[in-house]
Amino acid sequence: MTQRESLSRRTFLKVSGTFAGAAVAAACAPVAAPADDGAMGEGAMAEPVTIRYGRHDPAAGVATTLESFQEEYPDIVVSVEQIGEFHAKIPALAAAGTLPDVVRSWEAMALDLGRNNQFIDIQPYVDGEPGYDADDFYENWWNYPVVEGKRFGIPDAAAPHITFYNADLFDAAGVEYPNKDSFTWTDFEEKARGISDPDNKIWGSETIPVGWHMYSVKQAWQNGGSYYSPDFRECWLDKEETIQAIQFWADMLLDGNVMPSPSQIVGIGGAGAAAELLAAGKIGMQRMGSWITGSLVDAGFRFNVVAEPSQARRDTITHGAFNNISTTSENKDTAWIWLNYNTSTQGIYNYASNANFPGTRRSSNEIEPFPWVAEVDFEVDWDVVPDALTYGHILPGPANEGEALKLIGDALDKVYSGNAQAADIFPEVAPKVTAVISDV
Amino acid sequence: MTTTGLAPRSNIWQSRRFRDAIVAYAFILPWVIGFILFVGGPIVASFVLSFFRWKMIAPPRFYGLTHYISMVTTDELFRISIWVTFKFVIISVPVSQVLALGLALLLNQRIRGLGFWRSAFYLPAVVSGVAGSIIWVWMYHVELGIVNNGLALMGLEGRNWLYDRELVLGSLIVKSLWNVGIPMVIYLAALQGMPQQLYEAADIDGSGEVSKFFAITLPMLSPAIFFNIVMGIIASVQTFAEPYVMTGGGPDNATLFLGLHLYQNAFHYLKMGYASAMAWIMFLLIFGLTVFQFGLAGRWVYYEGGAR
Repeated sequence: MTQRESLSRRTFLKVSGTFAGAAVAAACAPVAAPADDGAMGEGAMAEPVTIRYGRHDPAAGVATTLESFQEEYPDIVVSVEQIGEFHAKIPALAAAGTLPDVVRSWEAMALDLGRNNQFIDIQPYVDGEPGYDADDFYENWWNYPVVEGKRFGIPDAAAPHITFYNADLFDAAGVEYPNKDSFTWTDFEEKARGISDPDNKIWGSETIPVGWHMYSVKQAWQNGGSYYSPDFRECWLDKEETIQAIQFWADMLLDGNVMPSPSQIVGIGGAGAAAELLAAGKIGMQRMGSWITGSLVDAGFRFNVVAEPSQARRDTITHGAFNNISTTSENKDTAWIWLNYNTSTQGIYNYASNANFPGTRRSSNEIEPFPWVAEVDFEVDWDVVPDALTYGHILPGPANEGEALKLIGDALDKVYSGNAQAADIFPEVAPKVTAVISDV
Repeated sequence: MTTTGLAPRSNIWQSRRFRDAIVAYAFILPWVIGFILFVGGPIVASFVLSFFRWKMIAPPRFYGLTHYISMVTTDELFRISIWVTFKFVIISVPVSQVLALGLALLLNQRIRGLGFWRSAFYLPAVVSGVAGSIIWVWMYHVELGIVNNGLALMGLEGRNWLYDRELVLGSLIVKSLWNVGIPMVIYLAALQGMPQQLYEAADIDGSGEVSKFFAITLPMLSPAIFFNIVMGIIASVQTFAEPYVMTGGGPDNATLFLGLHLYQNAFHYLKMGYASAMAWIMFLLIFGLTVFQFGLAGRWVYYEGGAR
């Protein structure tokens, strides 16, 4: 019979000390140093360089581009990191000095990180790239990430807001379709009233998702107003055009015979639920991002698209993202090679076709099949989608955007719920917002 | 061999007591390291940060007491969040305790399916706050929710539970009662440990059920009640998941709890220093309330075999 040996304290301490020491040493060990960046462009490198590419959406979006990139640049490994809780984790990574080499950041985030020296100015890289065609990009998109002459990103795909409409509902109500060449707020309201049948839960228009500020931003633009001055240092919520715009749509929301109440929408998933109601055949018109096309293909009714209704001017909002190089990257030259490849005509097309968006390069949008076109057996004015990039604006990017939007959002809440008039509350809020966004 | 009044130094290092201590510390070392890194460190850091302005994407700047001063002088939302939290605590804690005690008394009876009922009432307590909140969003839904549809069956008109400024806090208080299983189990355990001889003596004296409840059950339960109230207040002041998931603090900031306001300052506005200062105010609030309760406890909490 064997006797079990007891573990002596000395042995225990030796063993546990060894493990603890090894663990601490492993945790504290520096990440393997990257290969010398200077070797890039000189052909084959001694060791592969790894580039971290951080983005909020799945890696599948760049899978095609990544595959061809790896074939062309076998010595550069691109490690795609999908970062959840993007709005909080990107600042946390910045604070820790561990931002990915290339970050695909949201609009305001790109500017804010640039202003705070978390991204480098990549204009010198652009200037150093032979034959780089900056004019190929839509002007608004190309100019957006530039602060005081410094460029903090290259855009890829864009998602513009347009108006989708259910042609069958229009026919059933005997209402004429929106005119592609002239579609005003007044037209929108008239048509919506003509279609609305609240007793049978049919509405002419989607509701305004109150908490989703993009709706109010684009409405202000369409009336010649704006949330902010062009340099984002001053709040223009108190300007007459902005006040009129918000009040116009608030009155329509509160009317009850044009669009459903916010509570019927928000409780089942916010703005997305509005798209579900359109797909369910309950809504005549839906002003929304072009990404909802997919949900309409099998909806069982004929639909078409038209630009967003205009008032003082034709305008809309477009979403998208910018690719940047982080200041802490130790492989900036290599990072640029990937960034430039990913935002090339083909790179943007690859991503856009995966996301059903148009690209921010005109040349990407000339490649067929067009990503924003869905296969349906009726006529759709698909050209409305890329056309919106020629006149639409990008989500504003003031400093301290979150706090500013809280102040504006609280005021909008009051207006859209009928508890305040825009003319009364916006002049109170505007100086407070200005104080927040001017504190760069 | 010469001896001195002091033991040789080497004896201390080789003494059994010292070696035992080393082993003990070695065992707790992983926890201590974890505590320092993930709890103690952040606590100290948050205190230091509360005197700095730090957006995370730029270096911190010393701000002195500015955060603490502006919190009470200029931040209207802070005042709103304190008031919302106070109303929630003052209503939800007493109601949940009464409900938990009532359920515990019922589930302490000998009835059929006792195990099922005990499990059923405790079950929501094991559901995460976020998952439970999502379920309640659907329950409160104006058109599809079980609440309004249940009211419709009784011929009553449904309400907009989460988007009506007057109703929304009450709706969250009702949701918070879903977790009543936790204090209920503590009351149940206390009830089952109740000395039966006291009830037998009361029976001999001819006491009725009501007088037995107030003269025996309640005093004997007072330590459990005290514990549940302390824990209930701490949890209520820290309420976060429900407003975050169900209302986002709205409508019109009617459910802007202190915890949510803190979170928004930290992770939406990136005002880490300000959020840290708010966290310390929250800590002081909880600490003050707890000390206050301990001060009152001597007057009403009865410990069997001990002084009041």
